[in-house]
Amino acid sequence: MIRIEAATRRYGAAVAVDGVDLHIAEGEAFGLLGPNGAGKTTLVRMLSTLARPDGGRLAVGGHDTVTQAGAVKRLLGVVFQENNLDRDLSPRQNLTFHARLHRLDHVEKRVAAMIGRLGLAAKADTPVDRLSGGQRRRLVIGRALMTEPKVLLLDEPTTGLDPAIRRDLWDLVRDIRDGGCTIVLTTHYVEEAEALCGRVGIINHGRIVALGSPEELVARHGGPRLEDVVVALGAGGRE
Amino acid sequence: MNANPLAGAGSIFRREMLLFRLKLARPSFVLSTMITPLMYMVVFGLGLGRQVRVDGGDYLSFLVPGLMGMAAMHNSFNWVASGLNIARFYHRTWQLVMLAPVSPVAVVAGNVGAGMARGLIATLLVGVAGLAAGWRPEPSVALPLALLLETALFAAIGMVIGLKTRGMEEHTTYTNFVITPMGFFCGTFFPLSNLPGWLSGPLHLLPLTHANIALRQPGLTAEALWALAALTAFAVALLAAAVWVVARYRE
Repeated sequence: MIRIEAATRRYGAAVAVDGVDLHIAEGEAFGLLGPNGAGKTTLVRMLSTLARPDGGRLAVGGHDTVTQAGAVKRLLGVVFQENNLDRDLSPRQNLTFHARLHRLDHVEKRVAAMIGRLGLAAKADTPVDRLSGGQRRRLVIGRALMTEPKVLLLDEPTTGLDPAIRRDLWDLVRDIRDGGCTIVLTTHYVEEAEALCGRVGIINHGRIVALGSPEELVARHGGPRLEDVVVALGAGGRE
Repeated sequence: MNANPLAGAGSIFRREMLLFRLKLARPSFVLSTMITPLMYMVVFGLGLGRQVRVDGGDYLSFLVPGLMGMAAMHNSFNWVASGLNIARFYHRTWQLVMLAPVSPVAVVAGNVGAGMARGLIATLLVGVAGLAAGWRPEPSVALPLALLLETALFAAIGMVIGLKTRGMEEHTTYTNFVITPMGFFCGTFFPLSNLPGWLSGPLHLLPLTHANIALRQPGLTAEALWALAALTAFAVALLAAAVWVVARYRE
């Protein structure tokens, strides 16, 4: 479903993503783990079509993210780190705008169903400004699901949330994963990747330095936990 | 992409107008939008202007169309440019538009349409204030045509600047060095014929000059038609530039 070949992205002299090769199968839940500034977000932005690679190629569903951006956009749901919502508008208005922008049919019905699924019925017409951090995050993820995407990009979806809300969001992501959607999740929480992803890539200084299931990585590196592997590789090691 | 290049424009327009309606409901917002043109009207129109006559007419009749032109420029430009800045750097909602399968033409149409609507509402308020102060205009089709073209072209400039700047600071720089001087030098407060030729000539390269000419014409005179033609040319070029910038937008 996702094919990344020698993807490179520079910001001035700094290389944010450095020749990454990665294939992600349809229906797979893939986690990108790494410290801040490792290149996770840049890779997601390139996949989303918002950023162009300086070298290499990225394709989603067989469509090139640069030359066939329109086709890629139709397959994607994207959740960035920030709660990019219209804060003066309600959850219903935010979802309605998104549905209309994507020219979905039965907008009112879909929006009502999504509000129910997110558990936001009591806050459906409250300005987003008055929602809790967890409710806003649910809304952002729910909005990305409105188009029933084939691929969901989740960029640090639980950063800054307290543990109870994080686990609540994990349940939502599990639901999505079990529905057959391909998921790419970036995080610096090791337990999040272990809980949600069948395969994990550890990225550091713009390069994938380890790739495999959490169990494989632990076995390969002899660390008692995945966190030890991430710390070892994130500190500059490489397989 | 959808075969209809305007598909999605309506939803962008509706959302922008919904946000605008929420702001309009705040009296402080309406006052802050109106305060500058009202001050100009009181100070220059009713104060200093009582001593001044322009082309044989009273100064208020000269000033109010100029203030309407200035309000149209400021509001259509600022609403779009600062709205895009906020959407790009603070609320990050611009990403949603860029990630939707809508054409650059639709994105420009939705945003420029909303910028025009906001500019025209602000202009209408200035016109009403002018009428209250004693301005009695001759009905002229040139006035609404000029306002439509002017708001379209300045909203298009707002799109280009809003997408090219790297923050509010740069936006303020463009406002201070491009938009505000146009308001003062393009015939808002005095006829350009008062200026020496070496200064008034280059000022005809600026769109507000032509808007002010058309806004003061009693009908579709030859002068009005030339000014409207110039505004049309500016609008077409700037809308094309806005589409070009949206099509190439990347982060």
